[in-house]
Amino acid sequence: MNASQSFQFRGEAAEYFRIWIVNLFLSIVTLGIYSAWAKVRNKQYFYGNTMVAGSAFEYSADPIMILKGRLLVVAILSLFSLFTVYYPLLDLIYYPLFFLILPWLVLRGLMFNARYSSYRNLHFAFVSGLGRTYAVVLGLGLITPMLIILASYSLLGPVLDVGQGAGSRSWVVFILGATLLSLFIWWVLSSYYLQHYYVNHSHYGRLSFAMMASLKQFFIFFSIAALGFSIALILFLSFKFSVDAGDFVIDLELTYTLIVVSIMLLYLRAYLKVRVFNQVWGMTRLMDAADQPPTQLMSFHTELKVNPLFFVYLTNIIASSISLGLLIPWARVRLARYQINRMTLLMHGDLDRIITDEKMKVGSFGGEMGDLLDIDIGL
Amino acid sequence: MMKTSVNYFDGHSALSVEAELRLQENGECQLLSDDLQYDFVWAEAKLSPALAKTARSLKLPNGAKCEISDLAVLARMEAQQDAKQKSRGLLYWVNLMESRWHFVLITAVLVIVFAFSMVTYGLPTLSKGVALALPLSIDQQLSEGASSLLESKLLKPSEIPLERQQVIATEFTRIINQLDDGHSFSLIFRKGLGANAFAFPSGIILVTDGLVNLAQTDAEVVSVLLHEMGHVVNRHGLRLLLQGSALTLLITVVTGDFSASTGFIAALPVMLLEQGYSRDLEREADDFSLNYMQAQGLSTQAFADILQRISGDDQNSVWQYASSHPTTAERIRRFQQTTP
Repeated sequence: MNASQSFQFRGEAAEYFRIWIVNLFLSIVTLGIYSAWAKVRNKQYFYGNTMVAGSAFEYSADPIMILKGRLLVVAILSLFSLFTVYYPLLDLIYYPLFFLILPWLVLRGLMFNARYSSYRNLHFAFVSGLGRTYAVVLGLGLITPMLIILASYSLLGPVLDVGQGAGSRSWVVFILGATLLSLFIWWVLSSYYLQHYYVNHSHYGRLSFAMMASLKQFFIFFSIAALGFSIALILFLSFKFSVDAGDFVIDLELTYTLIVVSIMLLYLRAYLKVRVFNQVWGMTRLMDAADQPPTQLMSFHTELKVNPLFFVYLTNIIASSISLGLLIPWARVRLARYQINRMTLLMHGDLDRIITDEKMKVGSFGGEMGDLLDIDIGL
Repeated sequence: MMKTSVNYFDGHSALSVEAELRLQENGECQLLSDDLQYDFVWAEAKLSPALAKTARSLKLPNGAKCEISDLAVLARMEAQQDAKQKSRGLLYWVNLMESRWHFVLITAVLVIVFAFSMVTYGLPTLSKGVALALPLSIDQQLSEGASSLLESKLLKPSEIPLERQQVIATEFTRIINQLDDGHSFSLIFRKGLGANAFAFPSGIILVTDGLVNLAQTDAEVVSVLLHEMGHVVNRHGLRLLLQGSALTLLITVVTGDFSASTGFIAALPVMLLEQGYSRDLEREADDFSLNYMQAQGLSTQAFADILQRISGDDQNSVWQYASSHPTTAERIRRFQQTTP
């Protein structure tokens, strides 16, 4: 069977609004306890309305598990923030500890989410070793940029203290340039390898996801984006900051500049999202690992475009702000619709070759912590 | 007997099989297709909760699953079987709420009322209670930015004659001795940033030469100092911080959207709300200044005068509305009313 099946999102704004507002209401009335059910219902709405090849996706996490995770997170966070108020030195332990457990939380979150996502009664799974997770999330994601900044700081520090001779000025420019370049390279590599980590450890039944996206393409996209960011930054910095006599009063000109710069940043966000999304998912294959060598069973075709997505982003933000949040459901539905309706599943083999593999049960604690901290990589 | 067509997934492969589900009144079920027959009892299968128009799935005891799109027939099956158990799950009622517009309207109104009262009343009261309960040492931590402002290029050493500085400082010391508040107050003169005065949570109060020169009497300078001390005594730095983070947390939790609060444009409503908060605090600092001057039998006109002069002709600007201070006219009026 060689066929292409387009993804379809069937959600409607008015319908989702009702679910969203009832979720909010019940969460408030129950002092947040219902929020676990709300989360599941919310996710079920989007999964259940995403169709491909005549079937919908299903999210089947148990709200009770999510509630337990949430309660634990709230307990730990409030305990820590209470302690740090009275013993500020605890910060020294708190933050490193937090960084140390973050990769574990990311892993648990990904495992939890995949485990309770299914399609046609077959589960997704996320399988990765803790070591690899630490290497990608902690090593590449968090420590590398810190090291770059630390190195640049320790090289610059003495020069700036001594004063500015003609020789030291070119040294400073050199170090700053090298720092920016290293940070740029880090930005591209970490984006690429986080996507790679996410996709390549995902499974559906017996099939494994394999990302073939090109690192070179990533460099091209991010270079263009970096150019755009630089222009936005120059525009922002070239603005003459005036200091008002009374207090720091919001200036009309400053407001205009901020709006223009924000719109530019939003456009760049849309640009990167579209290029990365198309590159990652367009170059992802679903392989049957049982064959030697593995055969390709499915792939994707995506055709997100920058201008339409930017338009959706912009109108969503404006509508959500002006309506004081009441149009958030509308915004979410149209974003999902735009994204999902532009994806196609290409099948290169028979569906009945996709069979189940392992079943694992994962606690929700990591999943919840990740949720609260906005750890969201991949899609 | 009720029946409906379903898509059957055996849980081992992704193949979809069209089948028919038959339900007897006594709860016995049968799943039939060309090459499949499976018998089970309704109570042992698990039906996913109803949610809008999405297909529901019936998880069978053997691990297989039926996807059912005919929601009307399914609802009748469910009603018939649930009637025997006399129990409707929580999510049944949730779905009922979601599907009736009048329920939805009521919940929407209640949510809006809650959000509004939380933002205008709940958060400020809450953060005030919390701030006053926290030790003063936190104010010290919050003022770590003070030294960097003092050393920045925006400010230069004061050019106000030492004698005048001394007169103001003496009055300042007299007030803090009377206050006995626990903060360690100190007064600093600097040149730059127009006619201005700042208070750091720890009690450092900075006055610019612009302000001192603008004041025609020392009483005017002192009235401004009192306003700034009002910020310190009432722990405004800490309260703004608490209110701001609580507001962000509230918005994040309510919208469930973390990126929304980071976007510049989406941050605008948050900014406006925070401006509203700091307007309230300015009013509170004015109250402090007003009460002190009245208690000491001083004329409050001094503060009205200096405000008038600071604001100059800027008063009618539309952007005053977004400013962190209440409209100057309103503030001046409060101090004039109490003039003997």
